[in-house]
Amino acid sequence: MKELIDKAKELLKEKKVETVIGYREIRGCVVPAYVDSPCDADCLIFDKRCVYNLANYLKWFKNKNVALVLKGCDAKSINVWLQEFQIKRENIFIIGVECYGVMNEKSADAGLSDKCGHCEAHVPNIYDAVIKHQGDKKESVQGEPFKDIQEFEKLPHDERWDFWKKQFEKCIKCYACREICPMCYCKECIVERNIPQWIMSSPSVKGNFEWNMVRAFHLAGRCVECGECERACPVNIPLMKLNKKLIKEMKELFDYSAGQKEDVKSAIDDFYPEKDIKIDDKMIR
Amino acid sequence: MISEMKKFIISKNELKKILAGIVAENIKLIAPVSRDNAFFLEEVSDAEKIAWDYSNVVKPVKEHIFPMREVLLDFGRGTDPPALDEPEARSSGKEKNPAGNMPPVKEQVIFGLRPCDARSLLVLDKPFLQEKYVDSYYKERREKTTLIAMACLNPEKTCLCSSFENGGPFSSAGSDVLCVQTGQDEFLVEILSEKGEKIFKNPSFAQPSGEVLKKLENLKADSEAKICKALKVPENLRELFEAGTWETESLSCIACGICRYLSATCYCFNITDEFEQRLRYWIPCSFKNYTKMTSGEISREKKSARFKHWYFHKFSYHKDNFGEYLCVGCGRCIKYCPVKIDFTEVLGKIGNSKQEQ
Amino acid sequence: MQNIYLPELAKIEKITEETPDIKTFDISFADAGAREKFTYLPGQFIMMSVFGFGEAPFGLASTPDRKGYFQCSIKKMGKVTSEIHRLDAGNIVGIRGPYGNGFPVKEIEGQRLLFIAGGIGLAPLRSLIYYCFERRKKFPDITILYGARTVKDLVYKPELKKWQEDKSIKTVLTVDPGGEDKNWTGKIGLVPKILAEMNPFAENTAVVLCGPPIMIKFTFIELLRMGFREKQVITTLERTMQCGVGKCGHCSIDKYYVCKDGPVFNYEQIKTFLEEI
Repeated sequence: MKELIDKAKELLKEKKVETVIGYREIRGCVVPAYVDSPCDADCLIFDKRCVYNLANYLKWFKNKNVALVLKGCDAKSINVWLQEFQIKRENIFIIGVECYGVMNEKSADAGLSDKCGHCEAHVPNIYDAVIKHQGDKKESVQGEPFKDIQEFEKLPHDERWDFWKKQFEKCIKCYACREICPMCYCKECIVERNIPQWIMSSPSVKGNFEWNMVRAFHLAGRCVECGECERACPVNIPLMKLNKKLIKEMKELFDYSAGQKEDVKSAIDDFYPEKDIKIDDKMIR
Repeated sequence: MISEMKKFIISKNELKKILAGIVAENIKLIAPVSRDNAFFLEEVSDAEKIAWDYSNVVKPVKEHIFPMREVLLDFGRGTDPPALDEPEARSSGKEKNPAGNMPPVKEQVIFGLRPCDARSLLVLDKPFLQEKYVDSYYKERREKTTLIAMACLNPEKTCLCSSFENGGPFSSAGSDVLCVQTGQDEFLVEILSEKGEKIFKNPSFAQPSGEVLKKLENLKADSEAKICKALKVPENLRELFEAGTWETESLSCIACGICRYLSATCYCFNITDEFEQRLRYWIPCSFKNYTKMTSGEISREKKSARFKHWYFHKFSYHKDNFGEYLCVGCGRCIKYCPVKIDFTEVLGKIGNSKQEQ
Repeated sequence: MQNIYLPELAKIEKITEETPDIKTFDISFADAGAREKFTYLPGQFIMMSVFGFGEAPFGLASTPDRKGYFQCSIKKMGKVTSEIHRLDAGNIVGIRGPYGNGFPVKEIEGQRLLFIAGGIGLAPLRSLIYYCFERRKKFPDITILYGARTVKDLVYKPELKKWQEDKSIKTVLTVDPGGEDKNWTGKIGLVPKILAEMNPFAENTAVVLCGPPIMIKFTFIELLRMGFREKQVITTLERTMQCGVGKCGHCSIDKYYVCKDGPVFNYEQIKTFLEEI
């Protein structure tokens, strides 16, 4: 912890960043922390309760100098943001943390989150400073990453349809999945368009299907599997099942995973694969 | 008038039989069911499917009186003038009825809601029924609903119902019947209204013994002691509108709709036309386009303004307009917030802050 | 039990094109009984439905003295208004209302009246202007200051001409700098600036103001500077409204619902939440 706190203090003292976004503890649980001055940095922590993908907060910090405390999975979001010209690399300072798993908040036995089971990014693949892991480094179970998707795909069509129908009946259209996802940064979401109304905005089963499917497709090739959407969903819809299906398709069709490297071109949403486009200020709004 | 304040003891099986009897009379029975590790109040046709071991359901009971999505009007297209008072053959029910040509609402009994949810309907009655314009859709469902509440033996650490005058884990306010599980297979049932009397018609249920009543008092005290949160609204909240603390407190908020949708008392909605129906559905004030005018201007653009509005509506404006807070202390907003914002904590910080910064 | 969400059917009688994107609709109820019963105060509004497209609030631009039909001036801006602009005379729409509190006609009796409007903001004021014209003894001194972005954007052009010719009232028209054409004889400048030049008498004068939020805010500043008291300055606010009856929450500012407690407010009521208008 000391290393993390010292780094934050150093960045703030030298005015390299305006804010450090990290984790802190309050009333026995971990919440996002915004540290503006060095003396407040003592609250910063990192442990396996730190599930949030703090890259999400960049939505409100564009064009500002911020430092972010990011795990390996979270840091992949930054690579996608850079690919999509949403931020300038020099505006963010990534304090990477070496991580061997965060807990699954929704499981009764405080086991690790599903995504940690096949993590290959214990150390973030993009960082400006890295905080080494304290404690034992338990290697995660390197199983078949898409085993559960393959099992599900074997079920007959009707069963799969019924499964999703039951799930989407629960959806209340709170859009927490959208707001907590770093990749959902559209200023006007497609559901909010009313000329024409592409997706029914009211919570009917038809509208819920439309919403969740469209979001999954809009994330194809962009989802970094941080799992926040599933964690945030108050009615426990297994959103990662949908997202992982598309991640599997991207891997099989294009041998592509989102967020691996900042200078790799996106597999399916790059309009000028032959050109080398550099970001400029006008692009960031 | 109910004959007298009735209290009696029944077993779980007897209770299940009564609930099964409700279904048999073609009355809609809504009870807690388990779905993927969470509990919801849903229509059940088989009393065996009812869940008994839950702290509270995810969605508040308001969804059964003021549905998440409700069709208000049905109109045909292509006819000139459009058939407003004569719905198309495809919709069920052609007769004109007061609730704007919608098919009549079925009688329903909601079993297993917690006292906080029962009280939430008393709070919602004021803006929907006690105003110049009475909402006939809400009124019809409200009149056709009977509430059988289940007292809370194990309040969660996010609960704060005791902070309210008529609140508490064993509160009977707003219910037609209150059940308390006093033993493994023993329920103490208290009839509170005529509607409740209609459900529990059997006169031969046993009266509670002095021992059971003593047990009830102990269970109540134990339960109330488990509530560890309290609501403390700063007295000068209105003057703290400009406090800079709102900005800092709203930073981690992601402006989703969870606290608004799962609040037992929030009631903002959109009205929209979808194909040939006019319907209304819940909408949270946290969204930017909630205050978007046709000109494109957004009155509450900043996240902190939208964050702040919820607090002021619940603890200042609603109090000014209706004499009470728009809150019953169910604690769902704290439990389900994806970034763990606790509104009691925010109010505390605001109360400690200076007026202008 | 009355269904507050059920509109009454009404027919469009006449459509007048005021500007490239504003049309005035003359509307009368299909049912003769509803036509008879319909009465309103200047400043109130109705909710107009185009079935299948939606419903939106529009201020009543005609005077309540005119029986049998009422008028709304509608600017084409979004989904519902675009659809309304596609309608012809004879088409059916749905009407709910009248809603809102209306202008405080009793309180402003006997005072000097200063109407200040910008763009389509003249529409709700027009209802009150004609109401006052019918009662000149109660409203002897009337001044109208009206501005728009360009000459083409001025609404009710034939009526503006009549008002300018009427010597019993004072009419000042202005367009934004650059908005004039070669025939323009009126003033050139933003409304708050022209207001300052006019330097109106503050004593015993009620100001009725309507326009885009930015114009309202700057006009407020001018009026206070010139000595107008807060209660004398009245405005009507625009808001997104969905139910029109104070339930859906969209129009709420502070503890007020603009559809129910407004849309007419005086400056004293809204000065604490000016940032939200």
